[in-house]
Formats: sequence, structure tokens, C-alpha cells
Amino acid sequence: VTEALAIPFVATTPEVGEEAAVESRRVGGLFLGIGLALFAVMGLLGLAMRFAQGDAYHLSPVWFYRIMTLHGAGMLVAAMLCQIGAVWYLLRADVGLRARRAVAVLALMVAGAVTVLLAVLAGGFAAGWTFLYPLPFSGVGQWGSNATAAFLMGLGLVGAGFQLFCLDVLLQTTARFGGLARTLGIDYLRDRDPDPPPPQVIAAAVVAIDGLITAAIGTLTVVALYGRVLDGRVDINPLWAKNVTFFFGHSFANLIIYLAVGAIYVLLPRYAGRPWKTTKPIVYAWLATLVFVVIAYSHHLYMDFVQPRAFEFISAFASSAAAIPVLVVTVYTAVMLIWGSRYRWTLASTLLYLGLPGWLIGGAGAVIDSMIPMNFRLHNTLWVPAHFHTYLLLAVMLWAMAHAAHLLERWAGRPARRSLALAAPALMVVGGYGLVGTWFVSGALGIPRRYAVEPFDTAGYSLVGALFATVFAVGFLLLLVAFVDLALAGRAAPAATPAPAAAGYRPAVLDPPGQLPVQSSRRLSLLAALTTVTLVSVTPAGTRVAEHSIRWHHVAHTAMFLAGATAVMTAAAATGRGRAWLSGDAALAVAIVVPVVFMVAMTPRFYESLEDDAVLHAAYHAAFFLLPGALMGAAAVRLGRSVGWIALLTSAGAGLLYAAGVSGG
Amino acid sequence: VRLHYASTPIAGLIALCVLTAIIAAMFVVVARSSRRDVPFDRVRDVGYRARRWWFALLATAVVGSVALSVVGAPYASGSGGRVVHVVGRQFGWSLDRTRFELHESVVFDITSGDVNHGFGLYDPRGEMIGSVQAMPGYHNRLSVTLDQVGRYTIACLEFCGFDHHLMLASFQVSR
Repeated sequence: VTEALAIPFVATTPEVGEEAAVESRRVGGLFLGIGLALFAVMGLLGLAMRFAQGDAYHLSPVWFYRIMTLHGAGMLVAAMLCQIGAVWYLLRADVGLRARRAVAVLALMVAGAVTVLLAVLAGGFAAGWTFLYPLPFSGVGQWGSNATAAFLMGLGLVGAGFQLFCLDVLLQTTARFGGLARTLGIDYLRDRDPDPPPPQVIAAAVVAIDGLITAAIGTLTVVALYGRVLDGRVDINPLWAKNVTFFFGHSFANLIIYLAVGAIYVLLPRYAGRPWKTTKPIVYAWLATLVFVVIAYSHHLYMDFVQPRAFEFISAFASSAAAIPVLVVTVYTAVMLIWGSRYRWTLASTLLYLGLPGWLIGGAGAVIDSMIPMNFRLHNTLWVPAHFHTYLLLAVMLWAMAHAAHLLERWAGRPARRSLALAAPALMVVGGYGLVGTWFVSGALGIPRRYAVEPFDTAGYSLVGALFATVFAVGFLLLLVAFVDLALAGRAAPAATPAPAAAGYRPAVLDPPGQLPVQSSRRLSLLAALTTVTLVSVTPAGTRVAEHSIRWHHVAHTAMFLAGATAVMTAAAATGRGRAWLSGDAALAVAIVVPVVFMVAMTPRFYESLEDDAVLHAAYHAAFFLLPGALMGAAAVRLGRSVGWIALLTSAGAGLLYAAGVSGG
Repeated sequence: VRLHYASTPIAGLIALCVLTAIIAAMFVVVARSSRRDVPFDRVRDVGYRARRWWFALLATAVVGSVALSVVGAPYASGSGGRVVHVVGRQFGWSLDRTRFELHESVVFDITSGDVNHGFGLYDPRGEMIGSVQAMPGYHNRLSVTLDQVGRYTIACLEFCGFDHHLMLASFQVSR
């Protein structure tokens, strides 16, 4: 055990090693500490709901649904914070992530959580964290448009924090490992790279790419609904809204799990004493996951028979096929690493181990529900919270606790006390599986989810679930006792500073030179052609097309945005300059803020009064579409070949999707 | 109404229990093995050989699950039978017919007058028949043959606001 604790956890070159070690411990610890504290508070709210459903006391439905909204949104933020912290801590060994950007991520996400809290507690917002349109605008006297605006703003801030994290991860990994194809292991698959990145880097890059797509669609959802707050004439197609909302919600929750997996790649080998190396099956598995995550969400719309049939069947395939990378590669390899390894059992490694079956059992529940005839009977029954609590509570959160325990056991220089290291996980496993077990049974029986008062005299199931949840809470309390004990021990006798670099690790490149998004002359001409085509939107002919319908109007605005961006990129590529036009931080800020600006500007109240005046109308187009586009182009140039293109394409894609679903005015 | 298990979800629950038992047993065995010292090369050799078969087995299971989805999807419904118009509104259901004859085939044409709702249908024995969403501006059609005498219950299966849990309705089927 002592041996496992002594393995240097940040293995970079001696010059950056110690500094990076302290930095990663602080950043990781900060995220995990705040994440676990939020988890504890939201867990108590969950307990309060379960006892109320079990008829143990009276909670008014109005407050039940407020708490439910808060519990859902808060738990997702808590789990995401924990896993961002864990990944940051582990990735910092290989990749030059920036601490101040991590602090900005934390600040954005915490500000978002506080805003959501205010929307619910002060504004009475209770449309559920899934906020399906038009419910946020139909509070029946329980909340008003200010509360809806605050809730959307809170979610927007959380999304922006996640987007910043993904941008920084992708920037630093692609810079460190030389481009996207190498970072994702594609060059290794094609036998062009004998020395692929470690698996946690591939995992983090996959999560970051899917995360940027998810964040763009999240921004789109929030902006579209916010437009409706600003102007009641904005009309949103409910089916479109359901698609984008569930794309965002499903993918965000799903990516938390995949972030956590990256962390397992690093921690598990330390306790098993065997290396987790990148192999071709790992690369195939993550490339498959990259695709499965973004095409699986439609299972939330199985019972919308008007949803295009192809979406449903693609989702049925992706939802079950997503289990293959997990079962054939990740968990399979984890088991191989542990088998006959004289695994070092500490509090951290026990929690790490216990999360693996939680992931599989929750996944089994998910795959069963992803079969359409099964979903016909299980959709929105208690089967749903059953399966996602299994992998979020009994896998992702156990891993977050494992991570905190890992940090603290290292800090103390000794493992947690044996009694606590056995009792805390045991109580959490018994309580946790009891809780989700009652939900699975209730779901199969057809009891609906999200009922303040359980129907058909079924409150007994909730009471049993609540008692099991209490057992879980006692286990968590014992875990906190173990944490305090370790923290005190660490303060009394700080553990030795990390040992020098482990062999085989390469130094992190702290200031990557980066590359312009466009380098070959063929690509330059393609870009120039794209600029010419999109510039048609500002010509009289383009304006005539835009007047055809509100949809074409939004398409034209997006084309203007794209024209501004590609013009700047063409100029940068032609002159070979442009890297210095924006600083790295400014480019990140532009990539996050500009899509919001140009989509909000499409709200009728901002442009309607300008339409009669040709000069003002032209100025509006220049200020809100061409200029933001140009800024985005400059940001794309600064963000480089991989991230620059992804940032540009996701924002322009969001603009086109906006055109598909939002009308009115 | 007192709820009873329908055959499809109980099959799902049994499948889950079996899988959980297998997973739990496997992790107990792995945990016990971790006390021993087995050379990693040997573990890897056996593991990699077995993995191909494991992959083939799972790929077959995925094909099977997708086939079940395609064959068993309730989407073909919407033809044959008298159309009953159903509108969900915060917080109640309106049906243009509430009395039906035994063995009658009915097509429920479901929509919403305000926010998203879920039309969850339970037969008189308390078995869940299935659910379909009620979305404003769209009509989802569900075919059902009413094979039980007694009162069918409708419960809202999409969260719709502070009285969501009270959004229940029923209709009568008689001989």
C-alpha cells in the first residue's frame, strides 16, 4: 500500500514537475472539494424528496418540484465538477493545462449553479432540469419570466464553463501531441505513429470534442429560449426544442461518465502495479464512443412517434452498441489489470473498484430501456432514475470519492483507517443498491417518475428506498470522517514531495507554437470560395432570398457570420500572420461569447425597428453578424488547426440549427 | 387501481437481475483473485484470446437488441379502428369518447393544448400498456385493442408542472 501511495503522481520533467504537482493537487482538490460539498447538499435534498414520496412527512408539491429541479441541475454540476477536477489533476502530468483557466471554469460553473439556485429559491422556477419547451413559459402562476431567464442564464454559465474546459483540454492535448489525428490515436492506427498518447489523453480529447458539440447545442437551446423571454413573439418548434434540449442534457450527463473513465486509466494501474498502455482496440473503442455519444440522445424521444424514424433506430443502435467499448475494452482491461495483481486495497482503490460494477449494472438497465418495445412500457417510469442513479451514484460519484481519497491518502502518507475504509464503502453499496433496486422494481411495475405524491397507493416503495438512501448517507458521513482524519494526519506530518520524473514520460510543452488553421494553397482557395459564397448573403440577391421566410432570414444571418469568419481566416492564411491578432485567452472568450451574441441578435425586437432604414439595417448586419464572424475568424486562427475549425463549425452549425427551429416576429 | 407487472417489463427486470448477479459474482471472483500473484503475461495471453469471442458475443447481442427494437416498435400503429381525440392540458385530459366496447380497436390521436405531457395507459388489472407523448402542435397516434372489461386509467408521464401528479383520467370498457 505504501508503495502504491509513493508512486509520483505528476511525472513530468524535474523543472516543471514539482510546480505542476502542487498546482494539479490544488486545482484537483478544489474542484473535488466543491463538487463533493455540492453533492452532499443535493443528496440531502434527494433524501427529503424520497421521504416525502414515502409519506413520511408532508412536503407541498410546489416545493417538491422546486427541489426536484434543483436536485437534478445541482447533481449534474456536482458530478461534472468532480470529474473535471479529477481529469485536470491526472492530465496535468502530460499536458500543460492552465491553472487560471481551470479557476475560470470553476468560477463559471459555480456562478451558474448559484444562479440556478436563485431562480429556484427566489423565483420559484420548477420546470425540471430538463426544462422542456414550452413548460418554462407555462408556470401557471408558480414562476415568471424572470425566474426562467435566471435559470437559463445559470445553465448558460455552466455550459460556458464546460466549454472552456473542453477548449483548453483540446488545445493543450493537440498542441502537446501534434495535431488531432495523433492525439486521438488515428495516426497510430494507420501505423504512422509508433508512440501514441496515453489512453487518458485519448479519452479526454474525445470528451472535449463531443463536449464542444454538446456545449454549442446547449448554448443554442438556452439562447433560443432566452429569445422567447426577451420577445414573446419568438416561436419555437416544440419537437425541435425537445431534440436540442435532450441532445444537450443527455450528452452532458453521458460525458461526465466518460471523463471519469479517463481518470480510471491513470489511478487503477497504480494500485494494480501494471501499466495501462494505449492499444489499437482502445483507440477503436474511443473513436466509436466519439460517434455513439452524439447519436444516442434520440432514445429520449422514442415515444414521440412524430420524430423521424431513422433517428429512433440510429439511437437504438448507438445506445446498445455504446456498451461494446466499455465491456470489450475499458472494464475488460481493468479486470485484466487487477486479476492476480496483488491489488493494493486502500479506501481509494476500494471505491475505484466498486464503481466498475456500478457502471455495468447501470449500463445494463440503460440498454434494457433502450430497446423500443421495452421503452414503450418503461418511458418516464421510475426505471429511468433507477438506471441513471446506478451509474451516476454508484459509479461516477464513487470514483469522485475515490479520487478525493487518493489525494488525501497521499497527503497523509498512509491509507485511511481500516475500519472506516471497510464500513463507509460497504454502507454506501448496501444503501445505494437498495435505493436503486426499489426504483427498478417500481419502474417495472409502471410507477411514473417525477410525482410529488406517488400514485396508486405505491408510497411504500418510496419509503423503503428512502431508508436505503439513509444507509447510503450514513456511509458517506463515515467517508467524510475518514477524509477529516486523513487531512489532519497530513497536516501533522506532510508527505514527502513527489519523487523525480518517472521514466518514459515526455516533458509537457507549456507554450505550443500552434499552426494556422489553413496551410496548403488548395485549402486556401477553398476557404476563399466559401467566403465568396457566404458573402452573397449581403448582396441584394441574398437579401431577397432572406425576405422569403424567417427561416431563410436566419440562414442568411448565419451566412454573414460565416463570411466574416472565413474572410479573416483567408487573410490570415494568405499573409501567414494572424496568430498575434488575439491572445489565447481572448480567443477562448470570443469562441464562447460570440455565438451567443449573434444568435441573441436574431430576436425580432432587436432588428424590427431597424428594417425600414437601409443604413441602420446594414449597420445592424455589420455589427451583429459580420463583426462577430470576423472576431470568430481571428479566434479560430489563434486557436489553431484543430480547435479553431471545431469552434468555428460548431458555432456556425448552431446558427443553422437555430434557423431550423426558431421563427416568429 | 392496484398495479401489476406486465409481461414485457417483468422480462426486463428478470434480465437485469440475472445480469446483476453475473456482474456481482464476477467482481467477487476478481477481487479474490487480486490476493494472488499471477504473471501479467499469462493474464494478457488468456484475456486477449478470450476477448475476440466476447466481442463477437456482444456484437450479436447488439444486433439482436436492434432487431427487437425494429420489430417490436409501436410506431406502426395509427390505422384500423375508430379515432379517439385526446388532448392533454395542465392538469387534465379530455377525450372525445369515454365509453368503449370490449375488444374494440381504438386509435388514440394524442396532442397537447399547452406543454408536453405523456399519455400513459394502464388496463383495469393495473398493467401498464404503454405510453406516448402529447406534444403541442403534433399528433401522435397509438393503436390499442381494449381487451379488458373495466376502467382504464390514464396517467401523465411527462413532467408538466406543479399538479403533474394529479393529471389522471379514466374511461370505461364494457361488454
